[in-house]
Amino acid sequence: MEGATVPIIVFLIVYALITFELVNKAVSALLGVMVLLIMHVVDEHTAASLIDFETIMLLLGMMSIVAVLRKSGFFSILSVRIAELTKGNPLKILILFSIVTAVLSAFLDNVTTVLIIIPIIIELTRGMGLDPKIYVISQAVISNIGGTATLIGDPPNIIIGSKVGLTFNQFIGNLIIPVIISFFAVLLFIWFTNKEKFKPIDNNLAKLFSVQLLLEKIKVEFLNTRIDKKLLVKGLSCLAIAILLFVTQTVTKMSPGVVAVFMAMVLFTISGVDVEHMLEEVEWSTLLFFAGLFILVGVLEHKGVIEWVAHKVFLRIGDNPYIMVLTVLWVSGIVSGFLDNIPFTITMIPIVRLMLEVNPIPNNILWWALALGACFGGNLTMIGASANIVSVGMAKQAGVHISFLEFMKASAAITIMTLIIASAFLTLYLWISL
Amino acid sequence: MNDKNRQNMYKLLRNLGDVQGIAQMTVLSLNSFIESIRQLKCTKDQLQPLYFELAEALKSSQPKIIPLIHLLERFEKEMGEILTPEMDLEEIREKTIANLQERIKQFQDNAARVTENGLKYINNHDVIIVHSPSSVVTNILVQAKEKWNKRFEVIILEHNRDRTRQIIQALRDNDIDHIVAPAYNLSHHIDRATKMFVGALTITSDRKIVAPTGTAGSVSLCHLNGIPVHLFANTLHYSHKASTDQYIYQEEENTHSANMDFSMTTHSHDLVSLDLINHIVTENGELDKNDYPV
Repeated sequence: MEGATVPIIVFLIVYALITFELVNKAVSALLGVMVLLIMHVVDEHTAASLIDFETIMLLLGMMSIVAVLRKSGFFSILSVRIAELTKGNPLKILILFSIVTAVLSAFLDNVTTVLIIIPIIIELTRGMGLDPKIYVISQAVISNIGGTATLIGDPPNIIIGSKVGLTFNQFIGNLIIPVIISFFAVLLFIWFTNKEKFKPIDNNLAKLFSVQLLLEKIKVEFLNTRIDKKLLVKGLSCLAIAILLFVTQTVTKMSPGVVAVFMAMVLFTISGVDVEHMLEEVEWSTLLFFAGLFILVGVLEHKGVIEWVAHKVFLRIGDNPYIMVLTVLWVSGIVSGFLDNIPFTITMIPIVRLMLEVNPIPNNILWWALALGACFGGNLTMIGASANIVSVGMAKQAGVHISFLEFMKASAAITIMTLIIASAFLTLYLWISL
Repeated sequence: MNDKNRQNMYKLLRNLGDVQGIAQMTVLSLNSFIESIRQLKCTKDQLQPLYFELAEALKSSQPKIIPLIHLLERFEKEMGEILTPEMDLEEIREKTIANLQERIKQFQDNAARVTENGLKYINNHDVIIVHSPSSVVTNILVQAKEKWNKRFEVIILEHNRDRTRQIIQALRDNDIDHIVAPAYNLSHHIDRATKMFVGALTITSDRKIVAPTGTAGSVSLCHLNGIPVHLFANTLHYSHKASTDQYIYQEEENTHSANMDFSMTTHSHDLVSLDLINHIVTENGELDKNDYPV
């Protein structure tokens, strides 16, 4: 671990800055990288080689496709149609929006999903005289659960998939069962613990009238941007082709990052959109944040710090596969609840690799434990996942204040419940595999 | 219906009125009424109190939506004649929906007749100022171009971004020349203008109109410059009561500028004297300003 002191200190400071949101995430990570470069801990060529461009390309491509779809008005139509389908029934609002959130999160990033769903759900519930808080929290939580199902659904999965070389089909095939069970368990839990808030209103004419008016208003507001049907068809077609190429990855041998950027560029070309404007929609700060973190963790790995942590912490638990899997799951779950799950996943990947060298657990179960832990764990607190922070922030902008404790009161039980479901699934899976 | 729900409903009605215009909002309200009757689950005995609760709330909205109130009164009168104690809930539901659909048709027919009557007020080479135009005013402009191939220009005074967008779209779709300007810049366009078209929520018994905010200033400037102002509204907009009884919504909002905090009072609608209006066009043609058709 020669020369590891500076990168460790820099890494811990950057982690603290990210966790407590003292400085912008991308700035924190890149500032850390700059310190390492200035102090000659690493040279710029090595630093650049540590960036996992596969992950960056996948995010860039998906963000570009989403930007075009947003411009087409697709998300407005979708949310208004769902609002209409609910007919103002509180339970239907919860169920239908949760299904949409889960499905969207599985194929788009969670932040995009909550950016689409939260405004309309606040508008709808508040207009009906309901308390939007539980709806906002439920959608944030569901977006993290839905995103767990696929390679492209949640940043930890994108990172694991890219760094470990797991395919889209492997993710969906292995994670869909715990995700679906968790989804229904969470909905049931939310309904059971808030029964009063989900009472139907169809015996109250005045409330029904207000809801109908509200739906009209939502239609007017959210369909304000004209629907560009041609762009919508092109955007959806490119997204569908991208997903098809993800699914057939083993046949085409095209990595998800290449597929995403390729389809985004095809979409830019055939749609004739203002590319400069579309590129402004890409979250460059997120991409820079990822790049910075890859370098920081890569340097720690080069200096032997990761190996040291693995030996001192994770490899001490022995080589019992059940204990290894459950430890990775629960440690990931709890740590991801308090720290950002992106840097945590990037840090854990080399550690899990070392653990697998000691005891090669079959069927990538240790990786699924990391994915389930990091994604489900993000629900533990308000700061556990970007979708939570964005949802609470949007609610605050709309005048709905959700405190850290209020969020945790609802989400902690859900997180523990989903981690128990994941534990049961992984234990069973391991038992079958051994 | 508690006060919070009532205020929520009034806010919704105001928002819809701002964005869609009064005529559209009235139709949307009646459609919402029909849909809620369809979805309502109650016994026959519960129906009447539930209706009265909603009707009372609607009749006390802030501001009062006079066309809707007139239509509801007509609905109540006719339903009183139609309903018999032997009718079951489904039959009542059916009759109620049919009558409400009749009311929508009545309102739309009136609006169509106002549009028809309004067409003759557009001449070739007119430069027409519009401020938060109702759907009737928009239809007059569109049909004058479409049916009569009139050549004129429209100065759209921006009031509500969504509403302005709608009229721009309608004019663009029909290839009608137009410019968009903020209402406070009207003085720069006034020399070119030949007439102004406005709509109104209500015409009150003390000879005022309740119109979207900003209308009063624009109408006054036109009046001062001798530009004739045309009001297009069907007779359902006439109220039996004075402007003080229109419950125009007033809001006090704390605001701050630099390091100074102050409270700002805003009203949801303007009041404009009928003396500033030169022509009132209804479904029955042009009315004398002193006539009061209700």
